Amino acid sequence: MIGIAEKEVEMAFKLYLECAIIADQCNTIVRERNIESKGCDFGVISYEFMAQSFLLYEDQISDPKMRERSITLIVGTLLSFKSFVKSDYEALSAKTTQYAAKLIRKPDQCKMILLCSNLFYRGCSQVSDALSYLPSLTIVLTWFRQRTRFLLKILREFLSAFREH
Amino acid sequence: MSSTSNIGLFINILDAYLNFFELECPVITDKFLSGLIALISEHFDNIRDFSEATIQAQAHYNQILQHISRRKMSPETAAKFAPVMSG
Repeated sequence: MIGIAEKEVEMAFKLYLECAIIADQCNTIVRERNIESKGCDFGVISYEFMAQSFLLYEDQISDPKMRERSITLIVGTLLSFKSFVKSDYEALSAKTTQYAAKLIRKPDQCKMILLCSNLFYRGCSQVSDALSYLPSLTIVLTWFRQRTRFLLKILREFLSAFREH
Repeated sequence: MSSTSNIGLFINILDAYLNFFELECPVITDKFLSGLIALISEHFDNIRDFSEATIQAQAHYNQILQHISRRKMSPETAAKFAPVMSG
């Protein structure tokens, strides 16, 4: 993968994200069926892939258009995660929002922060879906509630981002 | 920064707000939505250029307004959407 990263940055970036999704799916299966994972923690693997893709974003992706596409991909990936540890998910969401806020053009900033706001409130329909596969629904519910405060902050942030014009 | 591209952003924000409103996010209230809709209508009144971007923004905006009026009609969501002023 490191070899690809030197030549085809965007492809490597996408591969990292896809690997992270697959690791997360494995994690979900392990949790659902209570399989003994023999010291192999898919959550950690998934997080590691995300960390790698973030590194790649910081070091290699500099074109504004490409940055915009990359942030969209990260948001999509984060939204598809089902068994991520709360603190990890929050760290990644916050980092993505920071990337969005650092884009050069103000309209892009606005659009991307808007997209990132989805990370902080995933809605009730998904909570009820979570009922079927997440053992600790109460944790998830409190997690969503806490996040709403953060969401307000984010919305404020993007409103002020484009009021500056 | 022209007002045309601003209005595109406003409409994107309205779209996102509406999404969160429907997902019952407690911090998004009908006041936010009504305020944004009023703001966008005001902008459209002042626009004098009819470029491709404006036409697209107008189409997007009309779709959103149609969506809101459908929600107002449907019995399950009528109560929630009643206070939203979509002038």
